[in-house]
Amino acid sequence: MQRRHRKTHAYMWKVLAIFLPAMLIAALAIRQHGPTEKSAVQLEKPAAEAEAPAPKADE
Amino acid sequence: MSVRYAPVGWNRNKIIYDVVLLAAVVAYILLYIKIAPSFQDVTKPTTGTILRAQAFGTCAFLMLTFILCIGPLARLDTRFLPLLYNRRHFGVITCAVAFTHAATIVSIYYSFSPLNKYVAVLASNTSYDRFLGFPFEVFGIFALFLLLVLAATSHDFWLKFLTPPIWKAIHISVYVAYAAIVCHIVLGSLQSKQSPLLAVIVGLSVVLVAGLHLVAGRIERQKDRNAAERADEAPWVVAGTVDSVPDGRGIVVPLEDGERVAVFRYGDKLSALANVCAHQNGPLGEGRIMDGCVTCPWHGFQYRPEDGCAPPPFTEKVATYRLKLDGRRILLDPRPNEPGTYVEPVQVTEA
Repeated sequence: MQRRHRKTHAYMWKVLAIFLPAMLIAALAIRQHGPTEKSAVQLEKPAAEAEAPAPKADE
Repeated sequence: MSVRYAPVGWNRNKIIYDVVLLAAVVAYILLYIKIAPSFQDVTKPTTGTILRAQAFGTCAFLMLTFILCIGPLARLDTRFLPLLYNRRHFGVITCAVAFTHAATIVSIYYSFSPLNKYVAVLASNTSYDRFLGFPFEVFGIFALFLLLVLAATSHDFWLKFLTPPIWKAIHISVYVAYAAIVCHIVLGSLQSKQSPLLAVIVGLSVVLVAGLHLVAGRIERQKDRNAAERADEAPWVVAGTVDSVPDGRGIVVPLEDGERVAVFRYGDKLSALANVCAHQNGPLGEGRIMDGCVTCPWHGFQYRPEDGCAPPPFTEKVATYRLKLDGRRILLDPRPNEPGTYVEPVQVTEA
């Protein structure tokens, strides 16, 4: 390769080697999660657990 | 207007290369369409058309990744040179696959728009002031435009018509196309995918492509640092010793100004040429003497060692350099002659 072409080539890849991973990491880090992707939130205790007697404080 | 050039014809290697490539593309797309549904979220079933669009899109991305790895791999290990031989056909097929992806996407998502479907691609999302939600389609359109330009100008006619420096300057934009495709994926598909698989594939591609180019660039810089030493007598520099040049092969001599010269030995003669092939800037010094001519390792372009001219009907020429012997040392005049200038080869006597 010619010297000028080699230099352009090397410069472009120095820039891209920083820009592309940064772009990927940034896009993944601030990616918004849809409601279906979130883990389930328990609204109330399951019936069986709710009916069980609460343990005594002195036991 | 006409351009005088002699095209390189089809040969067995090129046909095998293309057949293998096309078979691999067809196999990938069929395999993707067959396997991908088993990985999809059952609550969000994907239609066959969307699967096809995904198959073509991922195929184009993987092909471009592979294409961009070929150059630095061939610099690092000569066993990869056969892949470089027909890389332009690889690029044209990649463009066709990417175009099919774009056409499928437009027909799926924009056919029923009240606007013209091509206008709708650009008008449906205009959130240019946001990072997430940025109209990722524009990156895909830009990348496809670049790939189409590169494919359209890939033929040797355009190389001759535009001249190699301009042609190379245009074709270096394939890196910009790759960056645009990465942006297209990370701001588009990656934002809606729950599976980390696509993120892993894009990450590996970026690491591989950028890493290989950085390593190859570092090796090239190290070579340039070992510039030939000046001889006692100006302007001569020490290119090496006669015994360091194998018969039928060459050595690459870096000069102080960053240019490189290829010194070849053929029988009892030595000649020096510019290291840059007039075809696509291939490294002539890494080639061999075949049929009495220096043969570029990239695409087989040939030059007579004594005058740097390609044998008829080809018209390419490269610069020649003067050589002389000082005992067993080869001295080189670093001032290039006009391309095609005859220089009497140096006669070597056995030690």
